[in-house]
Amino acid sequence: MVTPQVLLGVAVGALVLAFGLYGVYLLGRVEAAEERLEQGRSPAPEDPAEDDRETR
Amino acid sequence: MNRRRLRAALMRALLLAPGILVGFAIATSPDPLGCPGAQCGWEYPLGQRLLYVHVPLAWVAYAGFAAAGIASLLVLARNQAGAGRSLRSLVEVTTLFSGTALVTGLAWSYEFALYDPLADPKVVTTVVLVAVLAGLWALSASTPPGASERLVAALTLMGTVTVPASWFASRLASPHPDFTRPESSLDPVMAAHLIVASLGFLILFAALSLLRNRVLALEVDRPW
Repeated sequence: MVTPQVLLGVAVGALVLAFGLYGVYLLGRVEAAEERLEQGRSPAPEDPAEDDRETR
Repeated sequence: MNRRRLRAALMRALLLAPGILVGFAIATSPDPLGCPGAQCGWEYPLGQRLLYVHVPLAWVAYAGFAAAGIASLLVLARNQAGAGRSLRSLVEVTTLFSGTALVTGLAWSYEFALYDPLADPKVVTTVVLVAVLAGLWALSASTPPGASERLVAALTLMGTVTVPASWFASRLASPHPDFTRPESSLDPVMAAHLIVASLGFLILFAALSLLRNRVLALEVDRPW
């Protein structure tokens, strides 16, 4: 039976899971930035000037 | 395996560990003995397990705010980019943790019809603590880039007074449960579960702060 308490439990579980997913997102961002750095590019996610130079 | 991959594997383990520790604490905790009112059924033990989320979140948020206070001192004393990054990452994760601690505490109080959260000094001081953190973000957003760091550091330092205020409110005149009161006690089994869950949330806090710090170090020149 779905009671307010069960909904609360689900909501809190989702909230805690969201923390973990936020950590996974940050980890992906760090890995992508470090990979760009290893390739000699700017670690920042968007660098239009650099992309422009590469295209030319 | 190079150092980058090793560090990424370690961070993955740090992100996985809290789920295991908190899940273990919640899954193996014994059902509470008492029953406060008419709502008692199988839902009451479920609601009681919110304690293994609310209490550790609150403890770690207090520690996070205190750590942000130390980082703000370093910003004001040395004005180094590293201290500014630490301050920003600590304030970010502390905002998440303290806001969630407040919400889970209010959700837990739903079980107790006689408990009025708005009349509880503990809740009021914690709302002020969260409001101070919200104020830090408002201040940061409303000042020019580069100028906000020292302002945010000064307000963080002043805001740390809300940590002892919130912490001690439940030891003084508050209906909020507090096992550190002389007349209170905590079941050793429950204490062990709380310690395991707290360790999980402490690891999660450290992992999120470190990752956020690294993102700021890689992607931006000035964190504020």
